[in-house]
Amino acid sequence: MRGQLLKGHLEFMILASVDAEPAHGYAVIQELKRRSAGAFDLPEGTVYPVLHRLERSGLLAGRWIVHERRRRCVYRLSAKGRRALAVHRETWPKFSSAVTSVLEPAS
Amino acid sequence: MNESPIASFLDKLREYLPDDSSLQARVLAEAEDHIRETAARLRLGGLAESEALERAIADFGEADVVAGRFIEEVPEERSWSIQLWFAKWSSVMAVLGFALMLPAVWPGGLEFALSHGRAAPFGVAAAAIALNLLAMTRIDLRWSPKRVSGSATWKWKALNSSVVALAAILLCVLSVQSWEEGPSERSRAKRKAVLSQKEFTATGVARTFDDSDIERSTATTMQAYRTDGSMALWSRTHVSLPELAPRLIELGAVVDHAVDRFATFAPDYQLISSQGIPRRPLNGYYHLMFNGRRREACSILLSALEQDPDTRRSTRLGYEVLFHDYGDMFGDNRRGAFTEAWIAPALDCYEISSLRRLGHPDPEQRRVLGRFDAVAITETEPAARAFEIPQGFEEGPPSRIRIELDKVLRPLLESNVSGASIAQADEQYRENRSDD
Repeated sequence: MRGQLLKGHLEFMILASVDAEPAHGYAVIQELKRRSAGAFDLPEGTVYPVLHRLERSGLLAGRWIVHERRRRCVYRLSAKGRRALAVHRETWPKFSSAVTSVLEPAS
Repeated sequence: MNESPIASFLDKLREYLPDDSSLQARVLAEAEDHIRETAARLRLGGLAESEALERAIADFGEADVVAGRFIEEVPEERSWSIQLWFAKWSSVMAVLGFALMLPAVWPGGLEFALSHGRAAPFGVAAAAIALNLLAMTRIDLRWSPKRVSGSATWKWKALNSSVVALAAILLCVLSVQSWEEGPSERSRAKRKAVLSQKEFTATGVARTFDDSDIERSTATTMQAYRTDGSMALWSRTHVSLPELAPRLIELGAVVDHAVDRFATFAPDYQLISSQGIPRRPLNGYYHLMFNGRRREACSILLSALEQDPDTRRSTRLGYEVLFHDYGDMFGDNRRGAFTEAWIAPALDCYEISSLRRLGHPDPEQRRVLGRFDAVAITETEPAARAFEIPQGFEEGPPSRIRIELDKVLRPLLESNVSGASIAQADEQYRENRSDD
């Protein structure tokens, strides 16, 4: 799937991927791939800038740990992120349906 | 050059990233973790190590693409630390806080702290707090074209040293308070023990003044402390003549230099100041001293010494003047007198007679209150009543004594009191007496 299409949606997909439990960058990307059945084939490194932006905006909270002698940032959903995700989950079906309707060939 | 493919990739990624060391460190750490974890999974899938690494790096994305996304997603932010600003204000806050706190826990403490020679420990303590605040706090202000954000970082580990600094300042306050209160019972007993071993006390009760000009007069107890050839006199008298203060400075003008020796031979007293004014070719010293046990007395001791012009050795001239200020040192009820004492070397520097006079700048107004001889000289501890506060007198902290004396002495020091004028006044006085 083209990266441009993902832009604007990737944020909430990332938020959804850490909704269940905190995860580090690699796990977030794997979860995105798993949930999308491999449809989101982005350069993995490009997900990290989004993670950073979500953390700066307060939707994610990062915590550094040491794993196998490597430093690793584990992200969890903040309360603000949880509220934003809930709102998005509520509005997304209507938005998606509306886009689908618009994109369908005129009958 | 790094041989590892991961290191090479990370080096390349660093080159493309914005010149922000904290961002670079974070991105590179996450990139390395990601690539190594991907490679480990690929190895589990059957790839060789080198192949797994290359694949993991490729999956992560081109260094310039990833870095470009960071630049796109994370607009370059400038970060300024306002640590120094905060440090400046924290210093002001610490000093102000201390100034506000001190009077609350110790009325008059600020005045004491600001008095001469005592600001240093308080200043050091305040500076220690300020420095610790500086060490504890870091505020970073970041801004970009889109937004401004800030963060404060507190290094709580540094709090320990702040606590130490606060404890130091508290200790400082308590120690000075303790100094004002005088030595503890234990140290007093110890000092007395030392006194009894190395010194002796001679107490001679002379006679009671009963001069109608004196508003308040009581018995006078003379005490002499002596160690290794040094001697200090201490006596009590209670007269009510506030104009003694000018006389103090006039007599103070005859001393040549100050010698801080009182504390060495009168350990029960606390020397709070000493100064000398070179006016006449007469060596001597005087001490402004404070009774450490009680707060009722502040005395100036002047001891004239004779200097042999050949050997340049000083010997006791056999003359001492003891000034006393008592009671309410700070109001209109200040009392004082001075005693001239003659020392008899044959009696091993005992005071054998004293002439008590009221001092006044005008020689004609000097009055002889009485002459008394020391009798019943015994070696004993100082009488307890010597340290009792006379009825009608109030205690005052030495800081106020110092400050009030400064108020009195400073303008006189700056005035034209000279040895010549004193000599002239003395001559006039002698002429007047001879006329009488």
